[in-house]
Amino acid sequence: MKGTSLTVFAWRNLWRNRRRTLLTLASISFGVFLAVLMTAMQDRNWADMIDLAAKIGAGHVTVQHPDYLETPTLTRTVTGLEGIAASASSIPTVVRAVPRISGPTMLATAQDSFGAAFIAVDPAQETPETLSVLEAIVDGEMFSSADDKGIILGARLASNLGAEIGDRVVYTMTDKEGEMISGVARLRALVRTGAPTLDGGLSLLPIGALRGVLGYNVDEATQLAVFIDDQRRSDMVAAELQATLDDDAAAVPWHRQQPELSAFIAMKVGGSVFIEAVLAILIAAGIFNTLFVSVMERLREFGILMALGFTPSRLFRLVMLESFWLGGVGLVAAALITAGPYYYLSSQGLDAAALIGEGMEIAGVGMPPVMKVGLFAKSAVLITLGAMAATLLAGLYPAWRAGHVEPAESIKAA
Amino acid sequence: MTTFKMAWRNIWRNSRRTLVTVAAMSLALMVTVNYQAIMTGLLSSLEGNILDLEMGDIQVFAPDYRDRPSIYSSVDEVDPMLETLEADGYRVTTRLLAGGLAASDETSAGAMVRGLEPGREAEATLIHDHVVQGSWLDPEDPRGIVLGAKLAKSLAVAPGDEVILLSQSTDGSIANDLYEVRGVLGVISDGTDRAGVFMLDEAFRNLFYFDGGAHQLLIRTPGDVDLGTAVEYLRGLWADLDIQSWRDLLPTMSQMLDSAAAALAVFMVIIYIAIAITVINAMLMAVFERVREFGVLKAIGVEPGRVFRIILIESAMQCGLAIVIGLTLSLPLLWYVSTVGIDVGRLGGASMAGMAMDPIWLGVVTPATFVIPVVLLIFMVALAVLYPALKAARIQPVEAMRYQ
Repeated sequence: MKGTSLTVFAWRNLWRNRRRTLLTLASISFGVFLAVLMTAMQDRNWADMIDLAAKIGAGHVTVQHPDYLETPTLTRTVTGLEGIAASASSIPTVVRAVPRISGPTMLATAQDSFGAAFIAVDPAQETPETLSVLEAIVDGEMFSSADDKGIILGARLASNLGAEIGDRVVYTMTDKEGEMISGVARLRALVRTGAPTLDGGLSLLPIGALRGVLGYNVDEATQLAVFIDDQRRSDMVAAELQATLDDDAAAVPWHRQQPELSAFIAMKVGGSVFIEAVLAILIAAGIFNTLFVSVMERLREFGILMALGFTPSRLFRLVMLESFWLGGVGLVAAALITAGPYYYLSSQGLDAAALIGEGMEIAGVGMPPVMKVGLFAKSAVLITLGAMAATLLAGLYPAWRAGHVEPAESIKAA
Repeated sequence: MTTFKMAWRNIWRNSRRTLVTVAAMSLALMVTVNYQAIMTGLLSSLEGNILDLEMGDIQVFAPDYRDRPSIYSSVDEVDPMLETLEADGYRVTTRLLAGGLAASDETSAGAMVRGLEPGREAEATLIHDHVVQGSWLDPEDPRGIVLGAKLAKSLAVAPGDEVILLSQSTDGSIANDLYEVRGVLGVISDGTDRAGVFMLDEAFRNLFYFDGGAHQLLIRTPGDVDLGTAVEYLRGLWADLDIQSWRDLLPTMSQMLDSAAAALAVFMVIIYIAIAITVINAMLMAVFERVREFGVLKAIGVEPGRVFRIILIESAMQCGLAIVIGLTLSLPLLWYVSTVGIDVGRLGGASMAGMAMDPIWLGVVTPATFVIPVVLLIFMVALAVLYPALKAARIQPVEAMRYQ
């Protein structure tokens, strides 16, 4: 044994029973494979949905009146938006900050009337990165300016109203004083996204024209929608932004604006963590069985080693190293079998529409039509550590048993 | 000695390994049984919301209504239809529909106004049971309205508060009147929660100067009539009307409910694959420890088939033990999820494909709760044990007795 380190010794032991080791490796890599794909699907999809919710809602972080969250009305506004937008933009991860007025309205044409949601925007400041429906304009064009006298409707909503491009649409809402007020606009364009909530219930108005109707100042709106490059930083950005604000405005992260979507995501993430934990326990039970039997088979051998001068702690370390190798090789094998499917799913994705139906919505937010995977670095580290910890924990008792061999007894026994 | 006795003794020769294997199977069974119960409960409550509160089984509209919902496109001659339907055992209610704006003191929100007759409605839906604040419509109170959960919240109104409804009436004038909130509904669906305003049929007709038939007939089929057959039958009766089952009206939801069973099976198979690998390994070890023994058995004339059976029976015994333990341990958990349920907190009201989820999930225990997980477990274990059992059956006596 001279010149052979304990690590090499453990490695050789592993391959003495090749079939058993291969089966154990198969179970480890199967577990890691599933955990990676499941987590990667969630990481990517929920991030996509949160971004989408931010784009049709009010950004990843919203600056609004402190009471707006409780009772959203057009009387609760924030002013001094330009200054707030400037301080938002100075936070490193912030991509853009745009003013918006949003709320419910009643739309009427000569033929019919329907309730709808409206978002009033400044066409000069919005891009598809901040307002995803801009990409879904199928007929007509975006407003020429913030003071345009136009309106853009979801395609289904427009057909319900019997409105054609160029037709007059009357919108009615409650103004700053709580009085009913109406404005007239011409239908400029239609949006068709495939999401029923948007196509059947969304209208866009030019923010300047609406400010005039509602009696808002030039620098006033219900919201400043702040977009950041990574939704996971929402809380941090909200806190940083809040520090620069006075008492008359609050910076609210997306998950407080949309608690139901956030709860749904938390349920799904919690569910998959639970399944992964059950899998880890089951796989660890299998590893324990293998290691334990392999120790019991070698009691005589361990007795001899001890008689030759191995200390109990060295035997303990030997078996722990064996389980370490199992975990390590299992992870490498997992990486090899996961790479292909992962690459395919991250570039091509799954056709979600075929799997769960067209126009699937969660809490009113459309699911991406193609489900792709993308693992957060943090998740990758957690899965690796989890798999390694499960393997090492399964090895603890067998290793302890190996360290407690009675040399004389075990050599006699066989 | 019988094969059974031998197998039973064999599995306890390495008691620790058997215990670990049985424990793993029991845990897997506990998880899958409870998961099945919770998912069954969730799906049946979703389906209940769809059928009993929102959609009914079948809906009837004027031919162009769903393309262009307008107050003018109504189904006329409703009364003879109701008579025919009721004579055939169908339960049916009529609804009047129109869009508008609901305004409280401070704010306003889009409203989907639905006029109905409470007496008739109670025959076909359970919506009267779903009021969480205040009370349901009363024919004696024409000024009373009942609001969807989110609409009441965004208008900041509660029972007793006043709401103005504003819309366009059939003669082109502004429809505008003051109502009192009688009740607020629990969560049902995106649309109803956000904009639903329920009022008496008569009040609707007064507000909108509407004197037509009805915009929507909501029909429940008799228990023994299959949905597809019922739709065909009704289409045969009234070929000029638009008659759709809830599955046609909510295709995404319908597809989701159909694929839920498959998703559940995939989940179980994943858990059981981990079990199968554990079983293969444990039984292989059990076989290789006993190569000599099997060699001797063979040498004294035991046929390969019997050796094969011994391994199968050993595994079946562990599996049987796991089923007893796993199911016994599941019972208290199942009792909890099916009586107390899981309070999902803020998740209540989150919607999937437009239908809201209940704030408390109650598990539903049916025979399938036990049968499906147990059958799948037996199947996977049987599959896993084939290879070790074949190995044992194929042992050559002479070589085996030399084996160390």
